Amino acid sequence: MATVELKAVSKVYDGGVQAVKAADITIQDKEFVVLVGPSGCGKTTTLRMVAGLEDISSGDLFIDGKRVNDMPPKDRDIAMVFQNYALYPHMTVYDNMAFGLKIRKMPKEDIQKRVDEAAGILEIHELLERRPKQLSGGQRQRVAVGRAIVRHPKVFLFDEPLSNLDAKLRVQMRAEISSLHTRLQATMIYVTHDQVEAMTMGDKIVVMKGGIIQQIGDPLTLYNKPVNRFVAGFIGSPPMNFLSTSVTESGGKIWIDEGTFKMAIEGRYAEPLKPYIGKNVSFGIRPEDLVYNMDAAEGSFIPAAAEVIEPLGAETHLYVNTGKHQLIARTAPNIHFSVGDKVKFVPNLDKAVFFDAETEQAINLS
Amino acid sequence: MTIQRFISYFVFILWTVLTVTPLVWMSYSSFKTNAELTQDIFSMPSELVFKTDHDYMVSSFPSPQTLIDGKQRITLESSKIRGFRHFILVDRLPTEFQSLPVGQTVGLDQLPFGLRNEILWKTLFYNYTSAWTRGNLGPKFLNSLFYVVVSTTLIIMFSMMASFGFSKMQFPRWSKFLANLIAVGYLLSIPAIIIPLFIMLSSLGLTDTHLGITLVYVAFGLPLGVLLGQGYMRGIPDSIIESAHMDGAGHWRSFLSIVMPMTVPVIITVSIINALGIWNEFLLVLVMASSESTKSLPVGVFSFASQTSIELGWQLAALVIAVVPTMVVYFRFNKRITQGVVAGAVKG
Repeated sequence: MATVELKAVSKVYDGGVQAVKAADITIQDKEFVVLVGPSGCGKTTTLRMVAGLEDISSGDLFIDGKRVNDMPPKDRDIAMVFQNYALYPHMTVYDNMAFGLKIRKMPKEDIQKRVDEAAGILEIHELLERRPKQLSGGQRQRVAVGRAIVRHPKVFLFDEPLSNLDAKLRVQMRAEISSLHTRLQATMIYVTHDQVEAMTMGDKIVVMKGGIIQQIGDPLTLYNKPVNRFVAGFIGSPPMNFLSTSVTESGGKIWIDEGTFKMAIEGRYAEPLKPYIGKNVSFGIRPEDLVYNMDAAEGSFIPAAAEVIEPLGAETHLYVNTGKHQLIARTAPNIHFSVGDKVKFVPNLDKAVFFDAETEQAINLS
Repeated sequence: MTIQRFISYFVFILWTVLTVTPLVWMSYSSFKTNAELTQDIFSMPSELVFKTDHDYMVSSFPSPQTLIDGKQRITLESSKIRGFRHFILVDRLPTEFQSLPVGQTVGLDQLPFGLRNEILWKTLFYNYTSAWTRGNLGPKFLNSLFYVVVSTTLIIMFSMMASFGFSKMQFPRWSKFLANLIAVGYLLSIPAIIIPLFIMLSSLGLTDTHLGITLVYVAFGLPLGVLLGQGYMRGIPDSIIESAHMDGAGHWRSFLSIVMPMTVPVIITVSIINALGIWNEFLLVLVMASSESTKSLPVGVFSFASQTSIELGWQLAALVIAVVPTMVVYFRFNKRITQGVVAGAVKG
């Protein structure tokens, strides 16, 4: 298969809008890379530059070590699955899948074999004679994937392929695409705005915002060690809680002062926070790292009042308010809350992340 | 509600009557002789259809066929319809008729059944055969067909190619301007610019040529094609074409294999509108074509009318000949025409 390498790739549109700024991404052979970010973050533009559908304004793109900036899409040996499937409406499913092979003048028997094989993988044999109009959304999605598979391309590109499906189907197709990746052992680049898709599918995730790559890493690295507040807030559902606090020192301990409460910081962040004494930091804590503990010792918990209770069965999401910040906590389903309850949460400081209030970068632990 | 319904039905019926009546009149009148038509323009056909038992006179008019094959024929000339002659092989006549002198009158019922039948059929279609042979309609029919088929094909080819360029290729600043420029051509009609057109073509040496006439038709057909075509193609998602690019198709291939088949509704609409227009077009060919070899059917119809005489019967027969193909097209593609025009209008 193939490696894909972007070196300082930028895209500036005619109007002067810079969609992608100096993106550096290295994608290993057989890797499943997800580009994720809010809409307008440049992820699709990046993908389209890899595909050759957009010109690269500056920087270099290498596929398999070969610079392909000026190579037209048809010569790049890349297959792409589009958000709206982009099936050819006047062709049967079979012809849709065979089109790319026919153009490459492959013998008929080989085309038949490839389509059969792909149809087998995707279980769409009985659809081969139908037209796209006669298919459901999920079936169209399969055909679109099938059209990519038959080509045996170097790289697969997916542009938000699941966003037009209903929630249930999306979960199912997500798993199927993942298993497809395992089965085909192909290099895949997948664009989505859904961080759950990114987390569940990617070997490596590229988080983008405003055309700039924020962080590249495997799902758990992004989750546990976000480099900045954006990544921390974007990855994870429900999202990470942020409290803006000021750092103080008293009694030989580092404290954070939220305004409604004070909390002593012990453990791994005690040292790194020292330069921030007298300054503001953002205290980030994930909902599952807020431990409900009514017996917590003074100066180790966050006091708040319950506002909204969302029992989900396996867990309960509790929205609480400190008076200045609203927080979400994940609690065990057997603890019963009612609105207005005064609660105490002890944050797991080994999992918490602090961010510089000005730069929004995570404070280094070193 | 019922009154509205009544009014709309009334309007529809009135409209239908207004459109159909001339067609009906033309059809039955084409079976009337010139004399009948001049006497009463609305009467039913009679002499060619019912009162066919009039006498024939042996005439000295030589058979053109005899001049070729040398076989002996007798010429029978109708006593009622001037110039309506039958040239009958002598062998086919009973012996008593074989040596009739010139000027002798023969009743139709005296002739053997087979011969009589043949003459009756010929009488019935007298206008049609006369129009076809005297007006030399055969070659004109072929010319009309040529203009329609070649021009329409070229119009579709070029207008769809232009539409593809304007709607799907990346030159946003110019595409709109150029497309509108072409669309402005829709406001021009052939009669409006026939004189400059003639001067232009004659300076190119293209008057009275198939090429010259076809080029003008193509030029006048393009605006509508581009207008409807690019409107429709804008509705085709870019991703389908990008997908074809990813599949390995270049611009040309994605145009032919993907965009063209998807544009079929518009292609049919544009084809029918242009084909019918060109089939019926009269002025351009009248002005440009001076020799028989380039004239089209409508001009052929016109040729029966001159300042000294008008052969109304022949002219009507020629008209029917000219109208039948359009009727066939209409009835065959009835649904597509109405659908196509609406589709073009709404999506375009």
